[in-house]
Amino acid sequence: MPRKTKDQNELNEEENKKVKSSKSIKEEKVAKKTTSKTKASKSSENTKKRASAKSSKKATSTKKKTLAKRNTSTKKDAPDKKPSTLTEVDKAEDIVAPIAIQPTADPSKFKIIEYYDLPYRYNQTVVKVLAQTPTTLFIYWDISDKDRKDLKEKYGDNFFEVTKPILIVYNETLGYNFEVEINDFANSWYLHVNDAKCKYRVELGRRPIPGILPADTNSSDDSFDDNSDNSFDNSKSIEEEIPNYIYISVSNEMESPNNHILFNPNQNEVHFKNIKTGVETIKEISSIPSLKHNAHKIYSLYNLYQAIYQDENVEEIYDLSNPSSGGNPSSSTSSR
Amino acid sequence: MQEKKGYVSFILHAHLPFIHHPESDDYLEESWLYEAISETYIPLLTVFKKLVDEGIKFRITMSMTPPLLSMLDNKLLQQKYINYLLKMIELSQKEVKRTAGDKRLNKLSHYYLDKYTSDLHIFKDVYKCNIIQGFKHFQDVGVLEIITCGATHGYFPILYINEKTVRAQIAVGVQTYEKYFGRKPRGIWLPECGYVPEADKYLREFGIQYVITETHGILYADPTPLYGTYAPIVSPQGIVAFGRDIESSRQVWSSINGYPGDFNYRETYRDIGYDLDYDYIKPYIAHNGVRVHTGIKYYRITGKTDFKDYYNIQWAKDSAEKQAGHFFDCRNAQIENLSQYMDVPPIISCPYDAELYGHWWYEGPYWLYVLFKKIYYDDCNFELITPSEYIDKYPNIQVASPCRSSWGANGYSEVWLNPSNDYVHRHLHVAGDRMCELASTFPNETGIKREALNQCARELLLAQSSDWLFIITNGTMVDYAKKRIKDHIGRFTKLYYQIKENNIDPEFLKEIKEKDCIFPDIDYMIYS
Repeated sequence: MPRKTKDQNELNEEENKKVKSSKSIKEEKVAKKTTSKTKASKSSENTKKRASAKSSKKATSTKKKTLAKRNTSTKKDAPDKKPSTLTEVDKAEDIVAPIAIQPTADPSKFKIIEYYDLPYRYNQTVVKVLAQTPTTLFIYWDISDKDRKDLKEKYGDNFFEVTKPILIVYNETLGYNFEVEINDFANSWYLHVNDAKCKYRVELGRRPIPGILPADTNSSDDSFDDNSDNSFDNSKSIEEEIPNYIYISVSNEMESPNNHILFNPNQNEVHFKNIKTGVETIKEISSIPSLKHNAHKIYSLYNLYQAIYQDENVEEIYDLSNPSSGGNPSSSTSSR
Repeated sequence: MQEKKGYVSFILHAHLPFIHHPESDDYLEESWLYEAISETYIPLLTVFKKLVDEGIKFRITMSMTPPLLSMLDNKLLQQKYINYLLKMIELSQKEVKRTAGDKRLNKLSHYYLDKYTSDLHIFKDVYKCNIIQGFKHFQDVGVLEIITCGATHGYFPILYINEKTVRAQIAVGVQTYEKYFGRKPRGIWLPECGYVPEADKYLREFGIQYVITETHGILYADPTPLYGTYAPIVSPQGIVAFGRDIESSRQVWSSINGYPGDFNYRETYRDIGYDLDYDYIKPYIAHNGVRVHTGIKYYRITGKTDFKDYYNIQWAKDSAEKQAGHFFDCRNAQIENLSQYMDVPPIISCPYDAELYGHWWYEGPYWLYVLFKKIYYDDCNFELITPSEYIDKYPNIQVASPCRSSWGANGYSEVWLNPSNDYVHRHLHVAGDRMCELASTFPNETGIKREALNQCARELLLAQSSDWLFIITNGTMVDYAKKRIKDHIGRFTKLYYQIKENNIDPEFLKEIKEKDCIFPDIDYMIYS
């Protein structure tokens, strides 16, 4: 599916203009003033007095409850005592908290008001490919101003109007390629591929648009006129000027993930490595008749689990609402 | 007594993104740390201590990520956590008075008052405000193995386009670990379990022996591992991979039958921050007056309707004990079955988010406590083990290349690469390339230029955190995540030009160093 890339409102400036953080820039939401400091300071003063009065009692209770019994014995018949509460909390009455809220954040230390936006582009010719899934590639690209200028000088000012961008996907493992037509409004693309566990490389190029001809060399980039009837009379045919394919750039090589169990009925041996000694050994499967048989039994267990959980969507194990990923979506905004 | 035929390995991944705002107290996101300390980290430490005190032999593995360690070690955040607890104690005290007429509620409000007071005592008096020491202690006494993670939880399957940026994530992860634990880590939790074989050589370079992958990281390996996820495999580059066990995983995680959904357990989403009168609760919710969770929750899940009954601590404990028994019996049966087919003892790897235990599943730490006691005292055919101990005992491992995989939705990269967040990747890649360019153009600098180069490395690492991409996909706190990406890329880019133009603004550098103060000892030459 094509990805929309350019918002009308977005600026297409050089990045160093976009990345601004100076005192002149309008105030941003970063350093919000807070009054908590003053409140906290007052509270701090009041409670300090209380704190000193109770300090002796606290010192005693602290000693009693110190956690680290460094020489903890691990005797086996320790009493099987259950905790009195879930986390074995101490009773609040035993522990007084004679300390006050201390001031923490100090906005006055930070004079520079920062505001950043991500650059729209980096003005470099680049194609990168990533694997989103075993069969979905994500590709992003850009062509630098210099390369654009060079192409226009070589093929005419309206080179980008009379040619269309394409991606050629090379499956380097299986040795085939195919072509996908994209458009100049995109700078990234999701692309389905049929074969998982293959190395891919993606090439960005352009092909002439059939029937659209290059304009006068005087015509500017911005004055492209879609009326091909007018340009036809004054122009040479595109096939004479622009080759059938113009290479722009090629991506990194990327291997897509595997998505299935790779049982190989012809596999005859299994390699083992002793990770302490580094010694590798090879076991002939035929020498251990039960080996292959047992492997199948083990793998049939996975089918068994699927059957046990058949009422559940297999994907639920990865459900985003589960607390997976360290992102720790704040409980303060989550809803069930 | 049954013969020991296999092992179970619990691996808890403790991680939060680096959130540190010395310029303001208004960031709600900072409370993620405070909630996690109170609901997960302190309860886990408490469980470990009780087990050790009771003489229970157990083994558990935890990854503690560099951003989490940096925050736990940060003086400002330590003070902010104390402030958070003081407010919670104040609120709990008010609640004790408010609920005086309702016996059941009043008992619960006392429970919260006790809990937060105890947290303050444990944090301030026992651990002197630094709970890293607690975890280090349990590692040093031999019950806990701590492993490391990528420097800022950067997702390798997207970053590896520039391998040096993956190498830097690993290098800083290992350096941070050594700083806090005084030894080298043997294992690493790959951020989001994102495995790419290209990282293996760097893992080896920094002494990492093993990783944890999602189930299909092993099942789809090449060639197919004989024992599935029930034995580790070793990659051609020499990295051992343990795969998540699907059965035990589902018992805990399943959205239908998973343990945390028990009707007696505490309902996470009913909180007095939303339930009580606005003027009463206002001092304890967001600074801007938006209602948020406070942490005081009085209801149990009760059922699948909106009706919620009061939480009953004893009932919740009963459920946790029952479920611990169920998990115990299942592992016993699983290992009995598997051991028939294997010529090495099977290992059942059980990796979970640490924050599942306590923060999301409030009774989770107690469940672990009961389970570990059962494993120790009851007759069973398995023992707890850490991955390191397993490979020490059984070093002869099948060679196979793990599958490129993650533990995100659908098992690959969709969470961190989809139409909502794909615009970010080109910026991360360009910044990564530029960091390498800076390290190569300005090697071994000194003075302010070195400081600026080191800060560039910090900004790049912070931008690479997988959390921002996850949050954008998940749709909560999206503005904050987007702002963080813009801020770090923006600060990086501004410094990049200042360094190249030899025009570094010392005030700007000083301010962002204070805000983004992670990895004070970083050396930008890791990108050379």
